[in-house]
Amino acid sequence: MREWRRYVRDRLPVSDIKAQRALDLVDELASQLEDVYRTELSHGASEREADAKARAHIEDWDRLAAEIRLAAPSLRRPSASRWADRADERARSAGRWGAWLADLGMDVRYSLRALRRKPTFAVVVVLLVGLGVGVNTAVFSALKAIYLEPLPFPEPQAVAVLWETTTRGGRGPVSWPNYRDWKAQNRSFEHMGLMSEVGVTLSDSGAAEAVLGAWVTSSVFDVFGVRPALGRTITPDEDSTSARVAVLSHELWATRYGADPLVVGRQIRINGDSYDVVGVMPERFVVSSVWRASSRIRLWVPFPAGAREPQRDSRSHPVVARLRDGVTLEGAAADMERVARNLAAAYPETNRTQRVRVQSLHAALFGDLGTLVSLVFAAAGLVLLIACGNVAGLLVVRFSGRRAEIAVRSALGAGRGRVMRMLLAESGLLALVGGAVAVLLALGGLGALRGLLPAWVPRAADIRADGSVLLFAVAISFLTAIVFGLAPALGATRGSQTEALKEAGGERAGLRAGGARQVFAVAQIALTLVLAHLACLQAGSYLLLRGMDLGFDAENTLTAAVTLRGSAYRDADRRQAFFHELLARLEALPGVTHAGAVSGLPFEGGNNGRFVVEGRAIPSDPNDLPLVERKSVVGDYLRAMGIRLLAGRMLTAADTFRNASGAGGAIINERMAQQLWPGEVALGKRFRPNSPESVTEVGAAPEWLTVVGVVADVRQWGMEQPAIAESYRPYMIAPQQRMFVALRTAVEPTSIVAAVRREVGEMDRGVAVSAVRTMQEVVASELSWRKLLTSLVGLFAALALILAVAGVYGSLSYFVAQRAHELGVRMALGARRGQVLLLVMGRGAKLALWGVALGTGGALAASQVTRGFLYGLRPADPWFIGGVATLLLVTAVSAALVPARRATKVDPALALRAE
Amino acid sequence: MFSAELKKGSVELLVLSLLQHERRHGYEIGKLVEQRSGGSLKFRVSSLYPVLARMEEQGWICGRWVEKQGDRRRRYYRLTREGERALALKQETWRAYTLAVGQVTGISHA
Repeated sequence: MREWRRYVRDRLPVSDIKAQRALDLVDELASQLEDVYRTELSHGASEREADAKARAHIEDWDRLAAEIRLAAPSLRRPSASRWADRADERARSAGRWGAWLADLGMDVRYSLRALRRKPTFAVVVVLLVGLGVGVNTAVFSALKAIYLEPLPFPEPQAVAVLWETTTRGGRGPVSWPNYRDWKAQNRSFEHMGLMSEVGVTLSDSGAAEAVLGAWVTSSVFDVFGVRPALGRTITPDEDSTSARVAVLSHELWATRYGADPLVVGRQIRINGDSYDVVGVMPERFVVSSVWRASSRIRLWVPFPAGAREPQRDSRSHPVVARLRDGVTLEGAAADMERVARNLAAAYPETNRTQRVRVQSLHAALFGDLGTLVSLVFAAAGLVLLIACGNVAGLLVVRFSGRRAEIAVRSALGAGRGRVMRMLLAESGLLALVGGAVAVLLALGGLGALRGLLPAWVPRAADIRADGSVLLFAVAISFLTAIVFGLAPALGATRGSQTEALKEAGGERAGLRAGGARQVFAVAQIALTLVLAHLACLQAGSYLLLRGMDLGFDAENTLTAAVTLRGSAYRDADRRQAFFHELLARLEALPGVTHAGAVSGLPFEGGNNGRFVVEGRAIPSDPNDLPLVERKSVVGDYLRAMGIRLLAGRMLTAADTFRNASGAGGAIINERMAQQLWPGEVALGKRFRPNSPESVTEVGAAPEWLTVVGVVADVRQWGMEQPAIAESYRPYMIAPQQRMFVALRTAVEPTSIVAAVRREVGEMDRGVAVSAVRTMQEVVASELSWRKLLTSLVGLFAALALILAVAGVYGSLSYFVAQRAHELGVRMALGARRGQVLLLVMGRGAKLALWGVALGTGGALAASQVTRGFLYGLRPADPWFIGGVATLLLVTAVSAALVPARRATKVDPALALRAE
Repeated sequence: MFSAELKKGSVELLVLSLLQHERRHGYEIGKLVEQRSGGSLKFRVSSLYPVLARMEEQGWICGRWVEKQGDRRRRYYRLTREGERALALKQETWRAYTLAVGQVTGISHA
């Protein structure tokens, strides 16, 4: 019989016929030829004659094959697989790599066929991978756009920001004289310049617009190294003469000046003064404020003469610089340390404790944000790992069911590596399809992600799925395939062929697979604990902040920035009169109960100075004087903001107008009272700034202020920084051009916005109103990053919990299925259903306990690493870790309930019959 | 003895008739045709097999591998319901055809 089979196989062209059908065809024809042969033998023919007679039954093999194809078209293989075979042949003939590729192609096709037979399994795995990889891809795209993308100048890593700092740390702006000395004495920087952001009002074409600009020295453009798209930048001459010239950003040129190609040479009005436009920067040149990375600088003008303050301790301006070729940041820092020490020796009164901090511009802008996004990325990575655990569990079972097939392959000569390659091809295929699903999910989710991000997140609009993001998705998919495919593949190819054949499909294989699944379930629980603990800590921090006493009443309060610039408002009295009149008008609006103005809103501090207390000696180091936040107020600001009065009285009109003796009243906060006059009554005490605050008062002695009232603390540096000492002084002490109007309303605050703009416009159309927000929006903005972080980590933790529960459920279901026979026998021998239930639940509890034990260590370690993101909570708070561990235990044990009940339903009689 | 065209037109009827009451394998079908026709009708394996393949594709017959005691594995065919209907139609057609030819030529079955 075998002889005829080979005879037929060698002659009949069946390569384009489906494999199984071809085998049948060959066997049947061989069988018929064998019958003919035997019949001839039985009729007395010799073997040769019988052989010849049989062979004569089929002479034209090609014709036979053609007739069969014609008669039964369904026997033919699909054209794709016929093409693949031809490709295989060609690849194999191309050498070793060709053969490798041909094998890979074969493995992939085989996997496709195998997966088609188990569509549910394939869909579940693809969805799990898609979810895990999708979440990671979306977060990576955010990380890339916000943090990884280099800044848009040549060699951006060479651009640095230089800060003045003290021996105690921190970072702050630089004084003009210090900047000049830094520039002259350093050896590390090719270019150095001052770039000080300043709000300006444009009042040429169209409505007055408040715009963020920057005072710059001409060298700033050399620091960035970008040529203008139109015209030129500021020249050193214009720099030294403070010429009225301006360089526009591309965005400002396009939006306000209609992308006028003839804009160079045009006159525009900045703060009421005429400036000549000399250049427009290119579109990709986007420079942010170093204080707030989401605020973009829209125009550059030379430093006005008045802004070049000669006092060495009047620190107002950030410095940017470009490193020389071959100099590192560390080298530059060491060099600037030398310069700082030189200046400390030369000017001990102002520079004794001053040092320089050198930071890359990228780190200055995005450093904190980068850490935040990395945390979210790590959390997303954990979700992916947990999803891999589910997939690995499913694969372990699947591969264990193929032990016999694997054994046969090994017997036919396939090495372990070859078989593992085949199994990994299946994992790889699933991972790739999952990756494709992930990309689709990510693409769909990116729009939502961009919308969810708060406005202060820089470059959020640039988040997109470009080539590198797709590459990331592919790479992660491959890694995922290895992570979830390797262990099951190793397990499936372990041991001898005989063992595998003996145990294939039997109990031992199932038990080993079940054991692996339980290990994965334990790992999943451990990872989920880490994530859940993190999420709880974040949620706790967020809730603590949300419930915090802010010191003011954020409800029903509208704020708006009003900026008075230009020659009309050069006089401080004029500005004060404007604000007083404006507040009177606004308070008269229906719905407004209190109106006031302040130089800086809560959370937006940064205007502070050293203050002297009457009757106390002034220390030799001015940095030993108390640092006090200073705010100028007009009108009924404190009541408008709902800041509680704790002692004394509010400021009155008499206090807010400077009187003849020069002394005025001031309100201080509780912190200042405790810090400057501990254990005493602060009311009636006097204090003054150590040096004059406004340029116009150079040479004049700062005036004493008398404490007339003490109010509750308001956090100036953000919700998470404790309040520092703060004073509210009459406007004329430091008459700012830009003040924030605050209105307390009895109606919905946003309903009076139009009226506010109208009142300002009626007083002066050239005055810009900007940053109109309710205080609730300000508070929400403060909390927004924490809310986002909490939401994202919480979402990931919830996903992880679902996956882990599915993992426990799956592994216990499998456990019950494998042990169904044994459980049935137990019950037949007298075990009660309750005992069986406990057996399975006990197994679930054991898994959960192991997972929690392993996870606790991980959670504690992770919370130490992320302690910088906590507020008001300790990383190792036992209540939190205990609570989360308990939640996981309960959840995991509950997941065991359904399989446990299924176990009790096993029919003992069936089990005994099988015995 | 008979032309290929003549044999082609009736081979399906022959095969279906032989499978009407009993399952048979391909060689057995060929042998029975030869025996019952007294040797006038002989089919080679290469002629019979495509017919079996076609009728299986049409759903008239169904093949199964069977291993009987003491014998090797063979592919046995049986008639399906569809095949029964096809057989009945073919028998009726054959009767009508031979009657018509007989009426024209004066040949009749005794």
